[in-house]
Amino acid sequence: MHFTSYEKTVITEAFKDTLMLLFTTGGLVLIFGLFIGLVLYFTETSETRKGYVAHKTFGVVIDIFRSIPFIILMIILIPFTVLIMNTMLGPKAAIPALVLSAGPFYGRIIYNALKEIPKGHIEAIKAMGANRTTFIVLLIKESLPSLIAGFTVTMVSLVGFIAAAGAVGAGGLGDLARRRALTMDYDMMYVSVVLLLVIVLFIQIIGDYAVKKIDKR
Amino acid sequence: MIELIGINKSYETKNHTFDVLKNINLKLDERMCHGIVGYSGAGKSTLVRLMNGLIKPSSGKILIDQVDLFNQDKKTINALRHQIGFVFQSHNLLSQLTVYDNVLLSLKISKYPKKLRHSRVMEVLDRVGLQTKAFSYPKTLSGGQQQRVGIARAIATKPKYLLCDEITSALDVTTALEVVKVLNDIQAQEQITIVFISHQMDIILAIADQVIVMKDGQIEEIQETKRLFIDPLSETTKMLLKQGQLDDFRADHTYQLMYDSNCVYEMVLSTMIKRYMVDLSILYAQTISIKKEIIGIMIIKLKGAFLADALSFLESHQIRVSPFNKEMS
Repeated sequence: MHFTSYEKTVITEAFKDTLMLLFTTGGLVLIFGLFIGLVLYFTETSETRKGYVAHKTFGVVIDIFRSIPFIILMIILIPFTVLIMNTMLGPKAAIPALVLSAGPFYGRIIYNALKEIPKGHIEAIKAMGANRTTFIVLLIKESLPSLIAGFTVTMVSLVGFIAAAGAVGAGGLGDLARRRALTMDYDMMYVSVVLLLVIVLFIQIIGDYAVKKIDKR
Repeated sequence: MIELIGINKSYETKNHTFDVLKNINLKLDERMCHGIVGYSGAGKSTLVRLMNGLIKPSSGKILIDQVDLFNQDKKTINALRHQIGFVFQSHNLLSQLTVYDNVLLSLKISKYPKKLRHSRVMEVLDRVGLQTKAFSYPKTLSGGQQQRVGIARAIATKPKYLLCDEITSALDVTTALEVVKVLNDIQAQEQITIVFISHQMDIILAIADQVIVMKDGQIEEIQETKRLFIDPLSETTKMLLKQGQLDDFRADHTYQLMYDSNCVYEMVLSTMIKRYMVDLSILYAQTISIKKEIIGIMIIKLKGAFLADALSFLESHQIRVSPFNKEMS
């Protein structure tokens, strides 16, 4: 297996594109997911009719985004993508669809993690007279191992989404693998796939290590 | 003072309404330990959660130092909660925080002066005997140790009131009595008002100055602890004191003796038997510790020629004697 300097550059560029997309969307998914998870949690625990309706409505909207296949979502979102990113091609163009697909997924994970916090711990925080901000910070701290484990799963899914996004012009390793497979350049295709595999393994190892280190439950 | 006025609490399901508390009126004086006792489902935990605003009553008012708890905005309720420490049955320590951070958390939330926080954390941990465990995580501690951290967390802010909800229920007797001792010492030192919930009457007797007996969401009896033990009024109290079957002993020549710390170490009974040549049979006896005082109850059958003298002898040794025959029931 021998690669020309051009091929090496192509692989490096694709690798960089994938990582850029992964970190950018990862950061946005973290924020968006946290928002969704907290909204789902607080609307459910508000114990009011209004809260119940808001929780159910928000839940349905979230699940719609979760259930649309990623490729379809990307196509549906083209006008929106053009509007906010000024392009429908390249890595940048994949960001809205990636965030809107993985954000709700991670939001549900966060919501479930928050719900797993023992009721007694919630009561203890309330009984101490904590305000809403302190309450949220403590909820996040208490569920941190589950949030990190969930983020690891989300990031691994994102790698898959990013590779798929490549097929519709987002670039990156997925795009490279697909294009080279079509021209029967299997060496380049294998290298792209192995690099994707390395990214996934790296995320999983880091995630598992962090959970092990942080989990004091 | 904590005052409950006409408190009712109901839970509704699709088909039923469960009345958990029914018209509770109660005044809890300051600097005392109030024990609330009753069987499971009596409404004790609901009552204590109301006092902290963790749940709202269906009707009625709760006044904390004359302030209507449920007629305040969230900020004021939180400020009131800084004055009311809460210790839970299952400790409820935050698992991701060390013992030190768990205690520190209550100080941060109550905006305790920053410079004094460290010394206060170490002081309360010392008070519950856990200074050496300050940087351990809750899961590495035993149940009794976790409960003591819970107490340290609750008293760190120097609250005026301390609510304890079944905090000894999951502990063995020795550990439970250790926790009671910690609380008794804290009350003596900090002049705190304690509301102690339990279904274990012996624990309540060991800690409370006043006992409130509950059954089916209602208050059955309120008495000073010693009085409650000697002269229980309600059937629930008698059952909780395990004195429910005592009436079966009622018969002629049967007497109930009450004694306290002054005479438990004297050989009163054996001296009486020898001196007055009486026959004695012990039908029932129970000695308990109320706070630091020892107090006992005994039912005996007594026969002999000098019975009147024997009974006078007992009374001269500060043992209260009363006939325990059928007419007295």
